[in-house]
Amino acid sequence: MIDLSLKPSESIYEIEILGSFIPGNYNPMWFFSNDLLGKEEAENATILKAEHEVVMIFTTNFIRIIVEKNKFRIGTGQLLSFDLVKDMAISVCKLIKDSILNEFSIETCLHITFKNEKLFLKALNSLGNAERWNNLLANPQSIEFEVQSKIDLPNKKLKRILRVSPCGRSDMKNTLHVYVFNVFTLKKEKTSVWEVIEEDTTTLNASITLINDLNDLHFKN
Amino acid sequence: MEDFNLNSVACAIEDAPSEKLNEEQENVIDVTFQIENKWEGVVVDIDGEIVYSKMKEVSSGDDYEYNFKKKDVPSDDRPLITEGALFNFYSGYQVKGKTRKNSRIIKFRRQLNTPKTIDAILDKMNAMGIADLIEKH
Repeated sequence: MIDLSLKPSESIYEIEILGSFIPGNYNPMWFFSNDLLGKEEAENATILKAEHEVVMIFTTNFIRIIVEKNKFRIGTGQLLSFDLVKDMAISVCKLIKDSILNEFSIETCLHITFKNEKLFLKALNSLGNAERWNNLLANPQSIEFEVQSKIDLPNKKLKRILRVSPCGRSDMKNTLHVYVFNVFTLKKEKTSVWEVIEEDTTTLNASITLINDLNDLHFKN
Repeated sequence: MEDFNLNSVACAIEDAPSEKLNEEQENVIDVTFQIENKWEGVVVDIDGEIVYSKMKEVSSGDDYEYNFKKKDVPSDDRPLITEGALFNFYSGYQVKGKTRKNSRIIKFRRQLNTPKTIDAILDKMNAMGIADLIEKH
């Protein structure tokens, strides 16, 4: 994993698997019974929300699991733990292969906090090229930014989405969300999601490179 | 997943392919142990309570030999200590209230094994130059 050139105030690395799930089935003890968590780890997991047909959210010291009817999300609050998330995602895909679709995403989500409001607004304007609107609007201010690219790869399609938007949390002043979503759609049914996740060694680094380039071009003064 | 909602969303990691859950639960993952450095390791030998390993520091790529005791590993992970097992060694700190406590954690990796998984482990061992240590028959 390459280094980030900026220090996020918070970060999340997450793999989202699509399919059809009964959230309540995927409590910490299901993970223990399948050797994906240790007994103590499962017993000490913090269940944040559990509604059998609707959602299951719990955290351990290293990962967070969110299961909804159509999504199975495995994440961590520290990028350096990305391999634990990958291990878990691969194992989950193997265990419930009949419940998952041939689409999934690998997401890197950062909170970037600026020293003051001026720098925060300047970064947004730089991203959105707000100066172009000077002839039409007084003091134009970009609010958010999103760009997508589609890449045709062997056996799969990749849609990479970069999204930057202000964070609305009261404890996060002058903070931007910088999200990179990598959405994979497998072309052949013979290719399994877990194989693609297992063989993927580039997506996280590509996401970090994109964020570093974004930082160089738009966030530095 | 093809149709993305392009509307602004205040703060939620899932705002690409999904509907929103509660923001408080969504956009923060509480971190009880803050990782400052990470080494990726592989067990090369076990002698009683002593585990011999090779590790690579993630940030520098430097290799180390590191020996530790089984009791240094959380009890949950001790059954995973076998030759060839992969683990992460984290140094960092735990935050409890207003105090920071430096800490180190050995976390063994869990994955359902398949031939490809085993290949990946062998590749890692080869990359770390461990092949020479394995007895050939």
